Amino acid sequence: MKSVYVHDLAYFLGDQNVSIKQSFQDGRLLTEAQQFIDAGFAFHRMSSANQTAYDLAVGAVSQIKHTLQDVSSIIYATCLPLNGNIGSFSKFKESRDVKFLMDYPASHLQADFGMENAAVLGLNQQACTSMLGSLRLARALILSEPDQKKILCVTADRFPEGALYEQAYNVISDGAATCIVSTEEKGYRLIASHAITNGALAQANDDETVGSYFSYTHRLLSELFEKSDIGIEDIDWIVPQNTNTNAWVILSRLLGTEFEKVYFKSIKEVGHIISSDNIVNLVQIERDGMVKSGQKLLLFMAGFGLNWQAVILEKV
Amino acid sequence: MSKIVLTGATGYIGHKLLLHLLQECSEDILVPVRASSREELERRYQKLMVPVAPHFRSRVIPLNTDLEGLNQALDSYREDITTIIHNAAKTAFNIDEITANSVNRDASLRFLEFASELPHLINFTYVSTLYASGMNAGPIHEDFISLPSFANHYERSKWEVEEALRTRFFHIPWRIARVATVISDDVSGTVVQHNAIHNTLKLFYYGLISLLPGKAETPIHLVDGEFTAASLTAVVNKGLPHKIYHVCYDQTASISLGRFIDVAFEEFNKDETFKARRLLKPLFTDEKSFDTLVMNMKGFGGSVLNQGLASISPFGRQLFIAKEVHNEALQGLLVNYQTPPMEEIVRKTCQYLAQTRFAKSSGGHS
Repeated sequence: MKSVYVHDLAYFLGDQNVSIKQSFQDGRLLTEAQQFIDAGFAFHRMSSANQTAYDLAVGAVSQIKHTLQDVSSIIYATCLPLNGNIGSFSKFKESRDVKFLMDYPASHLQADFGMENAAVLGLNQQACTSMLGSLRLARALILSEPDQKKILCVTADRFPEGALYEQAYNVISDGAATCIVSTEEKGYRLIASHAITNGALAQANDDETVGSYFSYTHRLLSELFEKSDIGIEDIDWIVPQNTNTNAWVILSRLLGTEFEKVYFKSIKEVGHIISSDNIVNLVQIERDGMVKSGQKLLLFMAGFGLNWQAVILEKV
Repeated sequence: MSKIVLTGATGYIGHKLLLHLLQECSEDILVPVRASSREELERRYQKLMVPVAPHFRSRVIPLNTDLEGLNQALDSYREDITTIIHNAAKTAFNIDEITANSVNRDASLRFLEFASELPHLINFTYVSTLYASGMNAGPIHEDFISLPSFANHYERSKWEVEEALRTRFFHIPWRIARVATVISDDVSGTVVQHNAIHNTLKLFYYGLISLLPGKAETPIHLVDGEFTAASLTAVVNKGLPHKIYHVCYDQTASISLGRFIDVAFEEFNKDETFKARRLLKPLFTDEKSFDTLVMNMKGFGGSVLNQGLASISPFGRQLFIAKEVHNEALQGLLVNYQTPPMEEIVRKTCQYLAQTRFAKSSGGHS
């Protein structure tokens, strides 16, 4: 089987940098600021009124535009389905024409960056796990269709005006992330991926979401390790979502690994950037020069749906 | 006429014990009841009397007092009191240090001072807990336990009273009855009173927690309420002075924590609502991880979750301790003692909890 690689990572954040304390005072958070600070959060990013989710996507992709020649597919993922349409709802109301509800950002991205040979796919029902879902889908496409050699994965979300920026006891940031999945040997080799959905918990409340978090995470990772014939002892770094720090204190003990191997340093500055966390943390761990060639990284995400996804990468 | 004093009669075990005592003893029973007015006293008394046969009711004498005023309330009966069953206590594993000291320990010691001066006292039965054995593992005999370490203030406060009986109050003809954790009202699995076990099962049933402190192989010792009341009555009527009795089944009736969870999920999964949610069995975790979860959820989680965690947390350390509990002395008091099919009782209890969505049966209990 040919190998598939993940490389050329970039991210772009909402243009407003706000402290947790400020957001609590402004009513964007329900839980006391100190609770979040104790959990590892300090600041988060929001988009100003004129910055759209698509602007965030463009901001991320612009950073890797030099790599976009010969892209064969674009997988454009959003957590909020409404971010998968950039059309005007008011124009639909005026005209009653649903084409304004089908103005897809992936199509615009293809045109705006001149990716003429790229077909587009939208992925918008995997919540925070969407980017990992994109990697999984991209790998499957490359392995199953010979003409698919280079796929651009993008995830971009911004919360609507007036939204709370707290979800399941996490502080949210608006932002976007992108990467290339291809057969070119660079970046990280994508070794394995795994996903679980429990649709019966689609509308789980925050306590139920936290309640299922540990057992389902453990099951997801156990199944991933089993099918990839890789053990937790083979994992050099865990790059999870930016969630309550103590959740990974507990999970690392449950999994039988050291908390020191868990890298999610960006939590303090940017909070939980929906499905961009893994890419943001990967960029930072690279920047910190902590990953050596041959090392294996476990990327994990849990999200609404409820969905759990993980991938294993190996540094080239 | 000789009289029995039964404290804690308005509680779950106390009320069941009262019914047994009325059947098996001939004395009048003085029952301290805490009430803020005469009307409330009458209301609580009437509630207490609901399951009591009419011809027994005149033998129950309510006294409006709490533990603070107990000695004074009983003072006019000091010539008549021959038997005391001191069952009143705060029995939650998560009681704070001040409450444990004031209610469970200090009030008991004051009551023992009072009992010391009763001219005709022939029996002081102290209702303790199996967990007065603290964090001790291995054989737990019906004997005194040298200073163990404790998982919580409840255990410690009960042990301190036992220790006072051994040292300061040895002149009193006491018996100690150490009661195990009550899982159900009887072998049918009906649940009248929720404790840490039921609170834990509730969190699993509603999918609010997927971690449990403890080891799968740890044996847990459970009893039903009927067995407990019958055994306590036997201790009162037939127990010997200065003896300790374990109100529990023998070790063969213990069920491992892992099997307990398996049975609970087998039964919960028979409930279509539960099954549809595809909730997973909890993962056994170390104490530190569970404490981290509990500490971290404070201020975040909803009230049901935090109340449940608060209930499990102080008990969690016991779920790592393999106790081998002995009850030979109790067996000697009971006619036709039989080890029950505990797994079946657990199964029926979980069925009951799922069917009732964790509502409590009134069970005639006040």
